Amino acid sequence: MSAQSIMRIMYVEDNPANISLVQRIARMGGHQVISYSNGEAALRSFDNDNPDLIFMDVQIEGKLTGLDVVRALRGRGVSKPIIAVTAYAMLGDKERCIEAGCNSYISKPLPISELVEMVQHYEIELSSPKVAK
Amino acid sequence: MSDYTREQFADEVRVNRLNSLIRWTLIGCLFALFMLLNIGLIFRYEIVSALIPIGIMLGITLTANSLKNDSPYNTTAGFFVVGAFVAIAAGLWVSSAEAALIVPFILPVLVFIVGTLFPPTQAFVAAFLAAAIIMLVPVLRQTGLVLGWMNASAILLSFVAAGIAALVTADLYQIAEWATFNYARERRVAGELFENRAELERSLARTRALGDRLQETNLALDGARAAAEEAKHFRGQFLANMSHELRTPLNAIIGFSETMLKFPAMYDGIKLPQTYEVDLNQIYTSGQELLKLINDILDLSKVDAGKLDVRISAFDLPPLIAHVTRTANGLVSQKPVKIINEVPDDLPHVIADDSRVRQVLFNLYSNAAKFTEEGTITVRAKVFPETVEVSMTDTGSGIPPQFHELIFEEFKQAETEGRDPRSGAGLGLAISRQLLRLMDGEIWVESEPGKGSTFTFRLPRASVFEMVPAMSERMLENS
Repeated sequence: MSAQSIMRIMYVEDNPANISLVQRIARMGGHQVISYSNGEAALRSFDNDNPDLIFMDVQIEGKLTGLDVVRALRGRGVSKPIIAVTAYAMLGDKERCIEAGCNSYISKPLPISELVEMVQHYEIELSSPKVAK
Repeated sequence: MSDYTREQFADEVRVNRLNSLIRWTLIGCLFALFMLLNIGLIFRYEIVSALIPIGIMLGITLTANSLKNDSPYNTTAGFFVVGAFVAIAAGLWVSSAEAALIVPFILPVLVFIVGTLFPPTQAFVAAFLAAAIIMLVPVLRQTGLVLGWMNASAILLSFVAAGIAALVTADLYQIAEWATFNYARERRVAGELFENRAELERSLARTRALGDRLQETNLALDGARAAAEEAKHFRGQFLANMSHELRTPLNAIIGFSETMLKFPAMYDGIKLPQTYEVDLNQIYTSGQELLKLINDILDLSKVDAGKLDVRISAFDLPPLIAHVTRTANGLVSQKPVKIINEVPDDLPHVIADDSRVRQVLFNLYSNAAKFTEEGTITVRAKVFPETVEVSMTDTGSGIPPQFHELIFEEFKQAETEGRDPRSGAGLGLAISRQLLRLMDGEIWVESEPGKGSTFTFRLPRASVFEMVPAMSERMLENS
């Protein structure tokens, strides 16, 4: 990795084991993970946290689904990369996530190598002003 | 309705005849009376003698007319006929010598009438009576037996009339017989028709009852089917929910064992001790197996719910087989088993869901690896005009013939001696079959215990049009 920068990763997820896992993965690049178990809390703290990358579980606690939160954030003009995380490897899920405004999509069980690559990809993008949005 | 005989029919005809006879006789008598009175008044003839027979006739006719409604036919007809004879006899008695020559000629007419009113034999009796009157009246009048040629012809004519009447009556009988025969036949036909109609109505009622029962059965069947579908749906829903619940903790098991095994960087560069690594690898592979099983259950639940999707496109088999084969090598790394890939590089494209074909192939490799302790697992491909067949032959324990179909059913496995008891629920083959059928393919096995097994699956070949994968994919997405 030529360009290394520390990212703030927001992870909206209600399962502590998965949060720990993503924290473990983030630790490799020294990134910080801020997690919320529901969409309302994530939306409230978003501006304050100002994350560089967001992992959004589709099925979360509270009234809002992950995709509702994504729509709300995009509605606010947030252009940070958002990755949807879904439990069901179902056809049509990917399209729904992209439609809601997600940049990409991964399905549980969390694919470790893919996550590592994904984190590194956005890390490079963040540190290179040409590609950063 | 009572049976109608030909006699009854003939009687009916005669009754009609008698009625008209009485009517015409009445008219005739009145006319004769009128003429006689006129002649008597205008020409001052002695008409008293002529009035007697006409009077008698008139009286007889009127009596017969009143009799006919309440009395049997024979009584009325007999009274009328005998009365007529009496009237003629009286006329003969009172007539002058010249008239006595004419009057007998009325008798053949009367004989003929008798013949038409009574059975043929009676006409001859009447003819004899007529002959007796012609011969006896002059004798009784003591004018002497005048048996001139006129009287003889009258007698002869009477018999001729009797003969003609007999002929006519015989005809009448014949016609009556024919008519009654037809009538009886018609009645029989009508009766049959009536019975047929009744039978038809009964059949119709039975059919209607059957129809009603069929409808009831159909309703019950619909209910049962709905219940079965609902049960299937609930089973699918339950399996889907359960697999989701199971996958969530499994995420952590597989995820953490993977990070610990493969990414020491996540643990500040501290590498796992060798002994830990072996056990952790065990946790990792067991977790993967459990996940596969759960995924299989999820797939089966989707089959139940009719929601198992396949994405059909044209693709090249050999690279896919090579890729799966590389992964499968890990399955036999601990055994003296060699995987041989004899699939040629230039196979025609097949039309299927590549990820599902990968799943099927991996299932077959898992099974072969599981049941082969030493030897080889060989994968081959054969091209047919419409299809491509991929087969996998192992040198494993083999499968007895009675299990060749059973192993493709859910949760069933040909469990025999020599098989690993830890070999799982055997969902792989059931899912493989379901998947292949969804892709218009098929899977089957040829095997003998002790001689290994060959699993073969068939996939449809892509047509020239479908050879352009990107194009066909786009089309399928649009459709």
